[in-house]
Amino acid sequence: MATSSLSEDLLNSYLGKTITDICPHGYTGADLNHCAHFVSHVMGLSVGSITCKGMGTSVNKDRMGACIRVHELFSNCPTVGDHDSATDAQKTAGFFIFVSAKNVVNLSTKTMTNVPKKHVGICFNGKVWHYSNTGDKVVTTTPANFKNHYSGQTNGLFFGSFAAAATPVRFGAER
Amino acid sequence: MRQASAAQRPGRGGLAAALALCALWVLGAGHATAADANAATDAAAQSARMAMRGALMLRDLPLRVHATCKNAGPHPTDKTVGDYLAGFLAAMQGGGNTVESACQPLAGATGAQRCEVWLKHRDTDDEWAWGLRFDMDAAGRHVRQGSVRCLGSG
Repeated sequence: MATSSLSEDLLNSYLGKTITDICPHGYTGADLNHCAHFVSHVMGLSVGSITCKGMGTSVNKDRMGACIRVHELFSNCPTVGDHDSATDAQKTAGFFIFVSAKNVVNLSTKTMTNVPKKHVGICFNGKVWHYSNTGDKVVTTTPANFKNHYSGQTNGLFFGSFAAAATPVRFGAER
Repeated sequence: MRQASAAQRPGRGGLAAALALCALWVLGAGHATAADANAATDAAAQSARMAMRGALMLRDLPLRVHATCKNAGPHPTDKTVGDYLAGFLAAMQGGGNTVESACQPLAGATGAQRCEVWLKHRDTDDEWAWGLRFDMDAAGRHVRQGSVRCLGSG
């Protein structure tokens, strides 16, 4: 896992940026959910059935396409679990943090149903960086607030470790 | 729920109508008439209907038709495109909801149409858009099942 360079400084380089600033392929519709899209660009992950490169309107053939679906990103994590069960070592390394209705996640099969209400960010040093689809920009929050992302349901908060292929990159230096 | 329509790029109804009007301006007598505007509107509406009809025709198509559709249903027992669409349609409660549908000529294929249907929802942080893309014949009677893709992110 090449995540040793993950840092607050790196993650903060994305703060306030819009998906138009981040995605080189034009997959930037303001009415789309870009949470998985954002974190996958940060971590350089192309996993899943389709990436922003396959969906974009101005594809840059020299740049990688990022995963755009939360449930596919979740299944790609080597280890998943309840957020509260994350070890200190896992917290130090950082991880993807997922919020959705508790009953749509199966930890033993590492699957999450593609329900509409699900969201993902990157948790590092007790802070969460995620894409606010309402504000259309990258923001930070706490895990406790992240768990309350959706109203009207009992939310679960989960972690997913980064895949070996994950390579965090600073804003402007994306692959 | 409202239905928008387009011809230039699926889901961009206003732009499509504007482009159609511009084309009429250039090719015509130098000014767009009310009849021209009506024709553009009718074409967009017909395009939207064709896309919606195509999506309905795919109701029983298994989601295994393509990797983008496998496991894309919002309920664990979803097996067909109909299940997929029904699940997201049922989730369009409260907030702002939009159905967008349109077809446009498929490049390099005489008469064939590439169609998209999008279901969109926005209610504060609960914001998403999921849809379908598929190709149809010129008459809008047959969908090429191998062309089906499930669209969306999040």
